[in-house]
Amino acid sequence: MSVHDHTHAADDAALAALDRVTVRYGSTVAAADVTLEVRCGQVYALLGRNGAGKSSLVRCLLGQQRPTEGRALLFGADAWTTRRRAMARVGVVPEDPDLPRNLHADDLAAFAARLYPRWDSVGVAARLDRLGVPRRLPSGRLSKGQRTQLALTLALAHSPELLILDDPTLGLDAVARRELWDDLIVDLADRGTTVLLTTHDLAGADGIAGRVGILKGGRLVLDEDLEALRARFRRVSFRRRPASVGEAGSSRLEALGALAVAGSSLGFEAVVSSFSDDTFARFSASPEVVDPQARAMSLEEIFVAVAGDGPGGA
Amino acid sequence: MTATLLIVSRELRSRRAVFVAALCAGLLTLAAPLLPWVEPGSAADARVAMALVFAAAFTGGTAVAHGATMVATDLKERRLGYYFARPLAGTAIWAGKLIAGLLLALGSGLLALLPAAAVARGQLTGWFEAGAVPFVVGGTLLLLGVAHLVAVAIASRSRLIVLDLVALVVVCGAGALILRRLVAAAAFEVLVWAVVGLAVTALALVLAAGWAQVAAGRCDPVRGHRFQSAALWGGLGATVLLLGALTAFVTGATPASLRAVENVQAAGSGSWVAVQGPARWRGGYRPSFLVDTDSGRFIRLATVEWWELPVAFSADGRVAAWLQPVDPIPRRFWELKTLDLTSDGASPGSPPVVLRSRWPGSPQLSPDGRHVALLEDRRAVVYELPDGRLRAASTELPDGKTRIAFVDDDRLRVEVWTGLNTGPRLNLGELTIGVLHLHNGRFEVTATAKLDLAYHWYRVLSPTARRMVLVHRTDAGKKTVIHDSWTAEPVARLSPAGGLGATWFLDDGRFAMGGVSDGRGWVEVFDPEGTTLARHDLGPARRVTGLGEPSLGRLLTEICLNEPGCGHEGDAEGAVVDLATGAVQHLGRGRVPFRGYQWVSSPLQSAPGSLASRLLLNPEGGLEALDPETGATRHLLGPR
Repeated sequence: MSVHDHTHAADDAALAALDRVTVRYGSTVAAADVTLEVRCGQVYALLGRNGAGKSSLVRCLLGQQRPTEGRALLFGADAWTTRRRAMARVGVVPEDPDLPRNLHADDLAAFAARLYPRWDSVGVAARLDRLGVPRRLPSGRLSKGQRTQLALTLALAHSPELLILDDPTLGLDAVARRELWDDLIVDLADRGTTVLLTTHDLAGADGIAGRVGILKGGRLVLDEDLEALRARFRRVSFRRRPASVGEAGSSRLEALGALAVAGSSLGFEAVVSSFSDDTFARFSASPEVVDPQARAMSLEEIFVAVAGDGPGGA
Repeated sequence: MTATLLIVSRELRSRRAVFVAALCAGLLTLAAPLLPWVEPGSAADARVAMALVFAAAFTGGTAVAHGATMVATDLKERRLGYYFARPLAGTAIWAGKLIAGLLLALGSGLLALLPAAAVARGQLTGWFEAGAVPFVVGGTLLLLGVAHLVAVAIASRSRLIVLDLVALVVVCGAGALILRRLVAAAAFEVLVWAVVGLAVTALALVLAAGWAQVAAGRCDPVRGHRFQSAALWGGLGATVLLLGALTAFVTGATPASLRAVENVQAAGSGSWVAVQGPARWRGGYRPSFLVDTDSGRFIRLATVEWWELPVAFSADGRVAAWLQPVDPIPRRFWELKTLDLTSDGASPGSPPVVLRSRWPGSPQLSPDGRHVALLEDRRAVVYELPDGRLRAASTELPDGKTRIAFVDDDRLRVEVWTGLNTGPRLNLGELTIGVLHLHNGRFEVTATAKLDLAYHWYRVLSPTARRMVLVHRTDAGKKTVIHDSWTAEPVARLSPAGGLGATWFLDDGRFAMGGVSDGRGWVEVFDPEGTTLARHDLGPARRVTGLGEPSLGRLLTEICLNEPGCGHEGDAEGAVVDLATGAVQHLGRGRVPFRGYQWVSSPLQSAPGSLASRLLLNPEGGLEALDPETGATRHLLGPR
């Protein structure tokens, strides 16, 4: 169950959008022709391998970097030109918390409090105390997890309409990751904040995201609601009847829309991207297929199938 | 504004340790007297000196350190997003960090001074002037800005840094060439404004480039670098181009650009003059020209000093010679230039004569224009023209103020005034007179005389160099004495009734003197022995100066009606006095004889009837020539 399911019904307004955005660094293309929308109330997980272009796109959305081509939009306006106004409505947790290292949490909170009219000073102190983040220790001396929690606390303190999390769990151990996701789930469930997050922690994202985008080589190869994605992806396996001939089993799998097929003398296993019960029933009824099974896939499995070294695409 | 102040406050808070360090250093200065090499009597000086060194180090060091880290480090460590992820304008981020840097640098400097200032009680204030504050603030801002730009360029790891270096060399090279051209033209007022303008513009552009880097580049170091380079080099390039155009305009002045004529040398005959004066729209620039007043043809001369036109003309008016610096900075070597004034299209010749001197003085030409004399290493040296071959040289002359003048084509007269430096009698000195013969190269001293003069610099020779006028100082006052110019023996003492005035050698051996007594001007004429022959009244006057014999028997004078305020701009007028009848022809208010500094370049009085003896300045400062017969004037140069 995702946090998205707990929020109020999403309306049609896109709080953040990328419109055919391309980002180049010299001759290197970090993102190519990416179009996506994060709608009000949605939790959008933008996934991709290292170097897929996630952070570049996030910087474009934050108005910190100008796309080489296309437009990044925040609240319907160009993110580059309206950055200052838009940032009053956005909370950001960057990939590596960029807090000034020699200032402690209270200093940082006091600084930010002057910038946002809806700053919740009491809430900040309470949350930090609850999480055990020291408030009088320079942020440079906090652990990575504490720094991230501090950054998240500061990002949430002004009740942003849009929260942008750029790989917030990067470098955190499993326990810290779990805590962060749990906290986030609780917070977001309370507030109904729209979220755009990028992460490599797919298990964490699985429990929070309502919609998923997957970048591969800078291109957005998948952009879909997580429930729909789960519904159409299955790991299908069967044993081969000893008398069957050649690649018959494999070709039947392809008819199911298999992305990756692994075969052996005993049988086949494949990831299917357009699974339906009817098609699977017909497939199961074929004489070469023995003991067919269709297993639901986790987000991580789907991601590996889509963004892995195989043909990809969805 | 609130956002800027917030960032200032955040930056100050995060770097406040520098204030503590500065104060500690300041306290250390109190221990300066304990240093082993500090003498007991100079404890206060030692404290102040140490405090000043610490203050300078803290101000400069903090400016550089803060400038280099305030943005570049955040960019490199990807921490600048902290600011840009908040509702803060790029301008506020830049301004906040810059102002904080300025406060940190100046504040730490002041804190380093504070303990010494508290102990010295006012002694330190003597080191400061209010006028220095803009320089300290400007210099600190420049250090901050430059450190920021350099650090960002390095942090971006962009190939643009190569372009930066090329642009730096090009802009600095072009700027230096332009400034050098202003120095070469001696356009020092324009130079000062150009340097001040360049410095202020450079500071503004450095700060603007920093702003562009932060506001337009945001968290993208390469984009920021691109914008800072575009702003800085684009701005500086445009400024240098503008300065180049201004310099071309300033140094492109022609004689027609002269706003007034301030200095003139005229050829003994012919129509060539050398002039100098302020040029219109050129901010105090005083170009010098050699001009043919008939044809308007001119040659630009290197301006040396506003009071000096180091051009010599041959007596026949056929040749001009002058010295020109080989390099404008420093002016250590001078090359001789000559011009054939009789040839319409002639360009300046360069005889192979180069002198090494800070300022070698004016060259002198022989009457026939075939020899040029120069002072070189305390010797009078004569070269042949046009090939520049050495013709003769004197022995080493006494160390003093030396003047040379050709008496004829074979003899160069040399005189040296050696001050004896006897306290208040500054004009007590020794005059050594000698002659250098060109035909045999021999130099002989003809006289040495100890003299007590009222004005040692005023030693005018008659046009033929037979006589010399000196104003002596005696217990009874000043007296004008005519001396033999070779033996220094007095030959006549001029004692006009009612005071002294300026003396003029007349063509027939007589003398004329102009002066004022009881509020009335007069001209008195003396025979060669100093006996008064006639005295002519000029009417009310405050000062009368004889300045030329435009035609035989007539004296051109300047009559000042009020002092101060003489000259063409003031309450003065020129008048031609017929020395036989006393008839006075007034030339009109503001039209006065040119009263320049000819004796600086040549000790010889201008010849009767020569153009030099007929030059007038009109009320607007333009140069005119007088027709002494009719009293009419002809405009030569400058304003009409």
